[in-house]
Amino acid sequence: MSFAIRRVSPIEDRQELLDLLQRNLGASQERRFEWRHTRNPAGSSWSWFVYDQNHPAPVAMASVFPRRMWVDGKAVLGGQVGDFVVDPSHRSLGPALRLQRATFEPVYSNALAFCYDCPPHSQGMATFVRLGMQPSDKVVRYALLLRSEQFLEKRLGRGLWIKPVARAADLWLQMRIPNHRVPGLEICTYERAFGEEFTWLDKRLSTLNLIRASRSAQDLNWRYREDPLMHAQNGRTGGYRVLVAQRGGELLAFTVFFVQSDGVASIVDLFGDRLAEVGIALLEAVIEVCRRQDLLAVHGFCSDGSELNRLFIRAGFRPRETAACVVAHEKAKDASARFLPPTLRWAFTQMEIMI
Amino acid sequence: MQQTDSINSCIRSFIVRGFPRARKRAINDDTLLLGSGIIDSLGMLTLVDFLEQSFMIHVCDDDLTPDNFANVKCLVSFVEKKKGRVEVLAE
Repeated sequence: MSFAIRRVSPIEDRQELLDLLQRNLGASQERRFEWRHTRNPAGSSWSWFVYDQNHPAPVAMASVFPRRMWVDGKAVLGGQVGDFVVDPSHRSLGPALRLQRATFEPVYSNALAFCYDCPPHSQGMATFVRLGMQPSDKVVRYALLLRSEQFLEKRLGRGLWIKPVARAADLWLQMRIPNHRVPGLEICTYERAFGEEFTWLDKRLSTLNLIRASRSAQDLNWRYREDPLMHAQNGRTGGYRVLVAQRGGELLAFTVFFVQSDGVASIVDLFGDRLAEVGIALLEAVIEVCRRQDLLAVHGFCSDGSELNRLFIRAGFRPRETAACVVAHEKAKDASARFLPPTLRWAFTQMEIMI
Repeated sequence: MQQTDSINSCIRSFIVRGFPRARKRAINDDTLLLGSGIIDSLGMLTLVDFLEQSFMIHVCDDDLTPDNFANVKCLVSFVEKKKGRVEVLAE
């Protein structure tokens, strides 16, 4: 058995791509396909098939989705690896290695400054281990429990005594959450399309020493307003919700979260100026919204290099497991010529690791 | 033939020791290892390391095909091929 690899088009090879995705990842792939592969404002995806040369049907695929990024204060085009699937009968690592190497091609051809992958589990690291690559950073999930009943039932079992214990625990949980008031700060929900003030904020905070995704109005509108899956969920769970923090009408920061079907809110993004005070206020506003809706918990995500770690801790969140590793690939092999030297910090949230 | 048996039992005992799902079911020479959940991608790395060290062979990326790793029988024949014992097998 020998394998071949070929570049495919998300338009001409759409059905074959979808077939592979659906048989490996489930049925909901079609709704977001065009949005991810062809309607991304940063450009169309690159995709590859691996197939057995004796059978024309593909057995594995991978894609690279272009992402506008800020690296050390410079705007660059990076790429995020995704849609990486291999049919179970072909998980012998060989096809996956061919694909992983293919995802580096846009970097070698200078179409992308670098690419990164965010494997969520150790199995996803196998190809990188084989290629001798190490993670550049990791993204940790933080959790804040709001209601204890389900949590206690899971650990201690059901019983009549659970309700009074849970009530007492809930009171304690409520007291544990600090309250940081910031004078003159106004926090409100934001339901319109993202405007140019978000682009200005993104540019103004294109900080040196950091690696993060762009948050221009165009990027944010595509990510949070045009995602067809979240639109479809709008009636049930509310889709993405945005809170903005302003002072005297000036946008300082914003956060984006959504409510999962299990009653847990997930903070996808938290970005802005003077986060040490404004970010805390935004987190507390999210917690307040979730508490009013009787949600069970709030989750947040950030990489080790992000300043959000301190914010989550100050807001009462606790670090849990590693949600993903960040493995980056760049063209330069010589340490002195590296585009992503280890001195740069990865300021990733869930926004950067979601496909 | 004796060497084939010894390679077989060595590989099989490594799989049973190293992979919990292989202990739950009685694996034979034809039990599918890939796709059945017995060996995942990280398990493949462990298995490749084991083959390289135990049989003094080098496994390159092009060798990592389902043909070579599908089951114990395929693994034995892959190791023999790598060790240059194909002609001994034919005898």
